[in-house]
Amino acid sequence: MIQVRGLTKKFEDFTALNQISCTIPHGCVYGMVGSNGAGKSTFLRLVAGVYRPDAGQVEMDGEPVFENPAVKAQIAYVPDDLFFLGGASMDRMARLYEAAYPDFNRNRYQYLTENFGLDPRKPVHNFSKGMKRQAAIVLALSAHPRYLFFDETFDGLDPVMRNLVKALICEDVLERQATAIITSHSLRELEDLCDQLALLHQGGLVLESDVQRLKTSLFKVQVAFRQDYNETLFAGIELLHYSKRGSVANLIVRGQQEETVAKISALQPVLLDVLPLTLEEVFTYQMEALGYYFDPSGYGFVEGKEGKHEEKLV
Amino acid sequence: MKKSWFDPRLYREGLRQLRVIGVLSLVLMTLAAVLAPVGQAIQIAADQEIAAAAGRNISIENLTLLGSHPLLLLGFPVLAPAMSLYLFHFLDRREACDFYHALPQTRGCLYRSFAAALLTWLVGVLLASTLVNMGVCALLGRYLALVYSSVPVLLFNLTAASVLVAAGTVLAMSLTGTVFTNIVSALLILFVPRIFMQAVSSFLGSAMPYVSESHLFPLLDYSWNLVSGLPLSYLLGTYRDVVYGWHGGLYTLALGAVYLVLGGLFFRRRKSEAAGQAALSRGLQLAFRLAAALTICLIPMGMIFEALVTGGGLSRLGGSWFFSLLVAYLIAAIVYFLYELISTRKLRNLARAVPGLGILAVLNLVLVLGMFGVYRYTSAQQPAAEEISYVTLPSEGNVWVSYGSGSGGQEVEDYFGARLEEVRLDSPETRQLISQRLSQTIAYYREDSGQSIREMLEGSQAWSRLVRIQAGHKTLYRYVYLTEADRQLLARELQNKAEAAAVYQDLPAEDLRETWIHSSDRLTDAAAGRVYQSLRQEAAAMDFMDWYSLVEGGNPDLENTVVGYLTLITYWQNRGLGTDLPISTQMPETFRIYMEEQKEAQRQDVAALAESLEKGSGMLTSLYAAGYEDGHFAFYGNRDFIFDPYTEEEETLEAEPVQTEQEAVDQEASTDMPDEPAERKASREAGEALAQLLAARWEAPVTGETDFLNLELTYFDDGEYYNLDFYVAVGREDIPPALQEILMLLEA
Repeated sequence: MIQVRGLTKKFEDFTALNQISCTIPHGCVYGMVGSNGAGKSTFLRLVAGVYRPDAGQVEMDGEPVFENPAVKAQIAYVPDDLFFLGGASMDRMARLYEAAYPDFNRNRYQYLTENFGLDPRKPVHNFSKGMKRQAAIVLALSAHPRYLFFDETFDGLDPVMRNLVKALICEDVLERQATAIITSHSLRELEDLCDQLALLHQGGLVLESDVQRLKTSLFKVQVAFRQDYNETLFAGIELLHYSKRGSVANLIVRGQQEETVAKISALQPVLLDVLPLTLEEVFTYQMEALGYYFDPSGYGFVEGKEGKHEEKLV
Repeated sequence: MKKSWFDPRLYREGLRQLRVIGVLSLVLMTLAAVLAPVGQAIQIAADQEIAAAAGRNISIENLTLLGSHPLLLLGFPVLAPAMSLYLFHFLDRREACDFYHALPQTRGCLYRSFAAALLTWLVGVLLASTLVNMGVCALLGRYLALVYSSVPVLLFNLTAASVLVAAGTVLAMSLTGTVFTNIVSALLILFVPRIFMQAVSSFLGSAMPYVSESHLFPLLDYSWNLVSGLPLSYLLGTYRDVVYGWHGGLYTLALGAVYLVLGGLFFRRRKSEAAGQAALSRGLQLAFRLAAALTICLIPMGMIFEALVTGGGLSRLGGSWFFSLLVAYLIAAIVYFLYELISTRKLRNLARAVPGLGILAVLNLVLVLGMFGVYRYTSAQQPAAEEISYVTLPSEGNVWVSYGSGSGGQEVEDYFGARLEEVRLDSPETRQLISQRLSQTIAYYREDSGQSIREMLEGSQAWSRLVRIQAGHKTLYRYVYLTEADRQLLARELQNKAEAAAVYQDLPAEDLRETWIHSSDRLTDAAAGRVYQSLRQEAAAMDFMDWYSLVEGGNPDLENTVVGYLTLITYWQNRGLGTDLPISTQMPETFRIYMEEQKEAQRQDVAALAESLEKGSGMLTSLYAAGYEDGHFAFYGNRDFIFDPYTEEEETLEAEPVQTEQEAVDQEASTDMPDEPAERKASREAGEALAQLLAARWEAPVTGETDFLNLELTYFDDGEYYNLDFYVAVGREDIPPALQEILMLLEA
């Protein structure tokens, strides 16, 4: 189990993470999303023992991580920026991993290398971006870790490889009760993989929930009334988003679905529809509430002015 | 998995990462270790062949490790920084730094394992190439001899220097996060403290010429730190003092160990995110900025210090002085900001750096006032005679000893000077003399009285001598001016010291491992060794003052008994020492053996000369004779015969043009124009007389009791000139009159 309490990390004047607390049980795939600079990579570096926290604690099964070889030996960390020795092949890197990780398994390494179709004798620097990432994943998984930390791991992987990596992660989690933390901009990637999701924003953990509950906590309501109305009509309901076209209004609501429906029904609408949200929509509206919107062109969450955002929605 | 202090697997990984650069270094160094002595052996073999053809002898070359394997010097300036920068380069790259910090080992363990791998390669390359070099030298023993006692000290010192550079570089890399700042801060760490010490020492030394800079503060002397000391000592020509002393190696290694420990501390504290940053923190960045700027500030600090010492008020300094000061400080400020700009590449940081200039100013003030305080304190140290416990005379430097008729030679420390360093002179007269002379010397430099030092000391001559004054618990090294009378007083006291007598009269035996004897003339090394055996015995039995005077000079009567020299080269306490030992008629047995060896060495040449002169084919072109009577140089004469030996006598006569009256007058007026036929005639007569003399006296033994003649001559035969220098047992009255007349003998 990973326990994070009051974790804070600063870079000179900039606070990258501020008082983060969370608990990640064994056998859990923990997804972490957030805007650029939200602190996802910093969080992973802290739980991997790369950074020393300025405040707070990271513990794994009650043991601190930083400067603790016994705990770090159970961690495989695949960062966003990969490292390979200059001119090294995968075999050379495997020797380095063997020297560092006591549980590194040669057979698994060979099995995975073959599965991914990588040439272990070819210099890694000649690999494509995706192949480099595959190589890093193969090396990390060969160390038989109990904790798997992947930072933007699916970037650069083709769909086949994404599925293969996901399968391998699930295999480790199911068979060995491993714990995985995966950060990504792509909510779709995490939706079918993670048990829990967390949303980081400006160094703070704004949301942490299991995926199922998250999907039901936010929902969309389409409503229309005979009389003219505006947003004030829905006082008492937590609205994350409100837009109106003609007499029909779209509401994004946080809360209990039955309770919300009952409240709106009491207002005697002529139209009342409750629609489910995709995980991506859930996060989009959560981020929107924080002043961000999701750019579907692939930039993920980007900072935007509220006015502009409304225009876009309208 | 336990926390471990050192991880053998990471250590092996470090070795693997350095394999390419290490193997390359090993191959290059080993090649150099083979090629350097082989090249020298080829040269010596060629020289030996030429010398053998000319009937001369060239001794084998004695080489220290540095002579036989000069590329060993590349260890600390090239290998150590290259390997350190290569292995620890991950500290400069964010992704690499994160990777290593994610490994399941403590940072301390990672540091120690990698540092050990680095040092293993460094020491391994130096040691392996040295062993190869020793093996090659052993195989080439016919041509060169490696001084084995030089191997441990040189290998140790150069390894220590490499360790220091590696440690300094790793420390710099632990403190900074870019290649530029790595290199700059490594240079600052390795050199700036020493530059400061050297500058302070030099400022104080120029303000107090009577103080030995190298002894003012022991650690201020450049010889302690091999990394900065070696380049400097090469410039000053004193590298032997630096490289052959264990003290420098030990200090350097200790400093290297301190830097390694410091590097480890900073490595452990270092944040992974420091990779790519100029420095770990703003404080450190300020420290590096200040160090760079303070180095430039040494120039204006020196100017201010000099102004304080010479005094006279600001008005005396003039506008140009102030302008120079301003320019120097302006340059320092530019360097201060430039460092910040280059290392951080952020213009806005320049404004943040401005307050640091205040610290720079305070540091300047503290250093200048500190130096002035030391100056005042040191110049006030003038112990009275009763405060002085004893005085010693430290060795003052190196001498050049030549051997093999000038074909060889080397720079060494003076044998007697070095061996007498520890002899304590403690008579009341000596203590009084040194106390008085020290005060007078200081007064001479401090007070501009207009008197010369000779006038102040009331002596006809005065020269500066380094003395070590032990005054209670204080040891002062001072240059004091002494007169000839003072020198004699010190020599007399030396005479009464048994240990001094032992140095002069108990000379080391030749063992061809650490002590060698060469001849300054045509004797072979073996012959020189036989002469030396006798010289050792007679020096031991001789009256001390006589032998002292023969060695050190100062007694013209004894100097006139010296006919030649042997060169002693020896290694003592890892110092290369040497001196020329006189062959004098005052040492009868040594003199006899020397003359026998000389005769044997020149027998063929003299026979050829006699035959050439008898047949008339050879012509003397110059002749110098020195006559010895009762073992003393008594008379001499010389003559150069000015003619062109390449033309025949008849040709010269035929070619003689008919002179006009005016031309005859002109020739008479010119003293430079020799009468060639007359010169030829004199040469023939001298040659005939000499041939006659050799026929009669060559085989007669030359001893100290008999009168003898030293002849140095050049003759021409069959298109070539020949030089000879030999002795014949001939008294003044036995010299043929014709020869006496030609030589125009004069009393010595």
